Amino acid sequence: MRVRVGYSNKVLPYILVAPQVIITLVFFIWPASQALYQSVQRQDPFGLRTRFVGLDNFAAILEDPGYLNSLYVTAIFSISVAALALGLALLLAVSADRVIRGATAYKTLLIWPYAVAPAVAGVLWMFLFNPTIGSVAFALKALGYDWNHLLDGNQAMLLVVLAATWKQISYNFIFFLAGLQAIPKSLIEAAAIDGAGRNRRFWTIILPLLSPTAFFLLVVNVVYAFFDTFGIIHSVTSGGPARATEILVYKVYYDAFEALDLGGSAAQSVILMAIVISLTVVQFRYVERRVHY
Amino acid sequence: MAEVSLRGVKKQFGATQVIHGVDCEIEDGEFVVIVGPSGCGKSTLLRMIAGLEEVSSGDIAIAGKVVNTVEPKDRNIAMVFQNYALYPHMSVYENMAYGLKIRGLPKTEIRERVDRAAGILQIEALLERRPRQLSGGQRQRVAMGRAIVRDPAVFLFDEPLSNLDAKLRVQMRVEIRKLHQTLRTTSVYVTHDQVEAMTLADRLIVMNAGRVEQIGTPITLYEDPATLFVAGFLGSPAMNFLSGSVSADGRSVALPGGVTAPLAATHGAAAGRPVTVGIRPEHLDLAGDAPPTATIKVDLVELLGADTIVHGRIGDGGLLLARIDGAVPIRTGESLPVVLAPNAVHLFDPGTGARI
Repeated sequence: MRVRVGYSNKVLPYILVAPQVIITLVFFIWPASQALYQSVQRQDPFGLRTRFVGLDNFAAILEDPGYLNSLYVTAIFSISVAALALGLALLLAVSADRVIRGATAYKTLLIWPYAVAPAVAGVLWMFLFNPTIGSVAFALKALGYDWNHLLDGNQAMLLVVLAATWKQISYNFIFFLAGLQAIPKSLIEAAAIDGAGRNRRFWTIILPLLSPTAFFLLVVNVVYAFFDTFGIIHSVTSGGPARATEILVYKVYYDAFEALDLGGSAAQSVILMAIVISLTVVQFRYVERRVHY
Repeated sequence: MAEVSLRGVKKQFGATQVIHGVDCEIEDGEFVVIVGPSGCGKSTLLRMIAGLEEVSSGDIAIAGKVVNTVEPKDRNIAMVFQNYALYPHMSVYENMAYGLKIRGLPKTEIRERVDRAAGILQIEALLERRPRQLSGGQRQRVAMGRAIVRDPAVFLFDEPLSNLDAKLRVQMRVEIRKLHQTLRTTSVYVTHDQVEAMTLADRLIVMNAGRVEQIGTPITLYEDPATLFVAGFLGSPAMNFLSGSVSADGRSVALPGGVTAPLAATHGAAAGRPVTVGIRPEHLDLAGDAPPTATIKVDLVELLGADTIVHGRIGDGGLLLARIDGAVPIRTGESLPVVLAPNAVHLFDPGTGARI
C-alpha cells in the first residue's frame, strides 16, 4: 500500500511553488509572449505607429537571402563550436585524469578561461589576431600566411569558432573530469584483466559510462553556441566581414537595435526559439536513448 | 592451470616499504588464502600477482614464467573484485562475454562458454539483466562467472564476500569451495576474515605489516602457530595471552595469581625467563573431580547453547576466556576450578613474539 503524503493546508503548496512560477513568468513567459506579439506587428522606426501584419514578418524573413545565410552561418558555427569544445575538453580531461604530479595546478589553469567574460575573451582573441597589431597575426605573416580576418570571411569564422570554443572548453572539462573520476578504478582494472588495451577500454568502458555527462554537455553546448556566443561575435567581428559570422542571435540584435526592424527581429527570435526547442527535443528523444545512466 | 611462485617479492610506494619480501610457492590446483588485518599488504600482493601493481623487487612467476613486466591481460589470470566491478552498461551476458569477445572467439563458442558458466553458477535466468537489477549475491555470481568463462590459469579473489551480509557470506563461501573442487583451478584468495580463511584454504598465508608470519595448512597454523600474531589472529574467541615465567627446571610455567601450569616438554633453554603464555579458550575445561590447574573468578558468562563462554580472571590482570562445551549453569562471581592440558600451552618470546 502506498501512503500519500500531502499538505493539510490547501494554500501552502501554492505559496511554496510561487517564487519559481513568478520567476518563470517574469523572465520567460512574459518576454517570450512579447516576442510573439511583436512578431505579428510592424512598427515605424520611431515607434509612433504599430499595426498588425499577420505572418508578413515571417514571410519576409524566410525570403530574405540574408536570413538564410545567417541560418547557414549558425549551423557551421554551432556544429564546429560544440564538436570542438566537447572533443578537446574530453581529450584534456582524459589526459588530466592520468596526471598525478601537478594535477591541481594543471586543472586550475584549465578552469581559468571559464572565469573570463565572453566579451573580454572576444577582445583578447581579437587583439591576438588583429591584422595590424596582433602578435599571432604577425607570427603568421612571418611564416608567409596572410592573416586578415577583417577581409577574409573564412578566417573570421575560424577566429570566432576558436574564441567561442576556448571559452567553453573549461566548462566541459570540469564535467568530463568529474565524470571520469566517478568511474570506479576497479572497472578499468577488470577490463584490463579481461584483455582490453587502453583504446578499447576507452571506447567500450569509459565512453559509455561518460555518456550521461556527454549528453548533458551536448545540450548545454548547443544552447551556448546559439545564444551565449553573442558577446564574442559582437566584440570580435560584429557579424562581419560581409555577414560571414552573423549568427542568428546576432542578427536578431542587429535588426532590432541597429536596423530598427522590431517586428522582423521579433519574428526571428520566435523562429530561433523554435529551432533551439526542437533541437533540444531531438536530443532528448533520439540521443538520450543511447545514454546509459 | 598453473603454479604461482613468489620469490623475494617487495613493494614500496615512494619511500614507504609496504611488502618486505614474500617467498611462496603455490602449487597447481591449490587454493591459497592470504589473510591478515587491513593494511597488512595482502591486497597489494594480490594486485602484484594480477599485474595491477608493479613489483619493486623480486620475481613473480606464473606457470614457470616470470611475469614481472607482463601486462595483466597476458598473464592468463582472472580476478574477482570486492565491489564486483561489473560493467554497469552491459547485460550480464555481455559482462561475461566481454573478455572472450576481445580475444576474438567465434560467437557460437562465446555463447556456449557463457551458457556453461551460467549453468554452473545458476544464473541462466539473469543473462539479459543489467547489474543494477541484481542483488549483491547475484552480482557476486556474475563476477565469478566473468572469471570462469575465460578458463584462466589462476583465479584471484580480492575480498569477494566483504560486501555481502553474514548469511549470504557463509553460503557463497561454501559455493566458492565447491566451485574449486569442480574446476581445480589454482586460486589465490585475499580476506581479513579468519573464518573464511580457515574454511576455504588448502594453505594459509598469514601476513602482518608487510611480512609473512607463517604459511601452512589451516590446522597446522591453528594448532602450531609460529608467532604470537598468528596465534592471536586465528581462532574465535581469540587465544588467551598471559604473562608468566618458566620455572627453573623448565617443566612448568608460573602464571598470575600463583597458578602453576605444567608443560608437556622441558624448556631448559627458557628456564627462569619471562614468557607470554598462550592458551586457547577451548583448552580450559571444568575440573570436575580432577585436581584443578587453576581457579577462575567468573566476571561474565555467555550462554551460546552449543557452548558456554566464561570471561574470568586468575590473580590480578590475568584475564582469561574459557569455552566450555554445552550449556553449563555457571554464575557470575563464582570461583570456577578448571584444568588445562599441558600440551595445549604455547610459550612465546614476549620481545620478538616468536614461539619458544
